[in-house]
Amino acid sequence: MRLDTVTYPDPRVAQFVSDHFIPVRVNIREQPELGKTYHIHAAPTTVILDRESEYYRLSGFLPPQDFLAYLIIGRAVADCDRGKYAEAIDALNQLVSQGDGHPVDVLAEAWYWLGRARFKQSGDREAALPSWKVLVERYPQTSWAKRVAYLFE
Amino acid sequence: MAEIRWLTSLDEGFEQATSTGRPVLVDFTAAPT
Repeated sequence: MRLDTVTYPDPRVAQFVSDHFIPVRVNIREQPELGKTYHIHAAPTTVILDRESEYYRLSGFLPPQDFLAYLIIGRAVADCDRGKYAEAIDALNQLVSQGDGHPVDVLAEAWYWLGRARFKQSGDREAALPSWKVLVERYPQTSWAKRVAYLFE
Repeated sequence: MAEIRWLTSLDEGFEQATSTGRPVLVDFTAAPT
């Protein structure tokens, strides 16, 4: 419920949601069949999807700035999966350029997806390496860095 | 100030997603209405 009272009313979150998504609210007490269909085991759960695919999901409460950062990542992941590579790269570049304003796990995840987007855009894994090198060097303890650290061993 | 205008129908959300190119963001909630 804190998402409803704290996070979604935040003007930055509300603006981003309104500008980048089609927002739908589903009450799983009233529509339990949708909860089952989408494998919702706890509320709140936030899912970014369309009729064809699910792109990203978040579980639980996050304060506005963190939630917004994950929405930016989620929208970029959706864009990347739908072939909108330039949009994804632009959004992720903006996020990582904000640097220390975000938690380490947000920045690490953003660098990871930035590499993936550049890889998918070019079809060449080499294109991901500059982003993933930053990830491994700056955030080596994160699970995101561990996914790609072997590339630099 | 921006205010989120939530749809309550997932099908309607999918239709708007198709026409706008934006993905759907679903807030699965259990909060009393």
